[in-house]
Amino acid sequence: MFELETGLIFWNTVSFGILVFIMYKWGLPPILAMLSLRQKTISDSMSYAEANQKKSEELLFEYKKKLGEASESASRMLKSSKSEAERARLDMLKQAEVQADQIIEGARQDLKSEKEKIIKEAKKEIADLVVAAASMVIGRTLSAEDNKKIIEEALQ
Amino acid sequence: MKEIDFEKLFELSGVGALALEEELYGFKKAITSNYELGDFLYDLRQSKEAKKKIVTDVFPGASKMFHDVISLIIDEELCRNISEISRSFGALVANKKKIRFDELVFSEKPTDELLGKFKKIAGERVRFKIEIDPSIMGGFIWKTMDGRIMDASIAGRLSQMKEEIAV
Repeated sequence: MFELETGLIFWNTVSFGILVFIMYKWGLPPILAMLSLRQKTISDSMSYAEANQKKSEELLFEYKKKLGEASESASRMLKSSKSEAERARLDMLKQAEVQADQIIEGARQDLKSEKEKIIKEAKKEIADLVVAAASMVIGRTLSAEDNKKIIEEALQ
Repeated sequence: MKEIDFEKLFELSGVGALALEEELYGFKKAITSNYELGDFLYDLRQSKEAKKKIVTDVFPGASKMFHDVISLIIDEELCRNISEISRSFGALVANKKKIRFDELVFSEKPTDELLGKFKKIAGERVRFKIEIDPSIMGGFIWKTMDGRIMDASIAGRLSQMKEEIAV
């Protein structure tokens, strides 16, 4: 049956009290100091981590910003390059058209001058033939009397 | 080229200046139209005496003054300058005598009647030198001393016609 032993309780209490005292006096302070140190270390680590996180976030923001700018710049450059290439293409096309027009005009002029030359030569040959024929006829048919008439007419 | 004093020559020729001018002109025509005669007179290897003899033979009726002048021309080796000599003396005579030497070119020898008409138109102060050139075919060419030309030849008209056709 259950029996309460006061003496044992007493000594157990005394022993416990002594233990508490010893613990309080010599055991607890180093533990508290260690805990305090541990707390400080953790706190510092957390501050450092927070600072790092903040810095990382800033860097990330900066990186994203620069990446955006770079992307925008690349886009601009690409657009500009495309525009310049298009302009160059159009310039070349225009130049080719001008050259083609010049070649056609030159050929037209050559053709015209060649045609005029041929007509001129033909006229000259016709004139030569006409004069040669006329000279032949006149040489054969012109009498002294005719010649005299021609001279007299010219003198009038 | 040695110079000929035309003023002195004109004075020496006196009243025969016109005749001398005509003779020199004829001599020029003879040299320029007869290549054999020209070549002989231009040839420096031929003796001057031979040249003078040829001229005497070719122009037997010419004046003494003419032969003296030609002798001088041969002695001074001026035969190649005969055209210039004839032209210069002609100009001097024309200037002194207040006359003009014009040239008429015909295809055949003109009649006196026809020449009379030219003289009537030109006046007394114009003396004509007649040239015969069959290549003009008919009509005449009148060349004045001052360089004007009236081309009324058939060859000239044909040439004009040829130019008009060819244009």
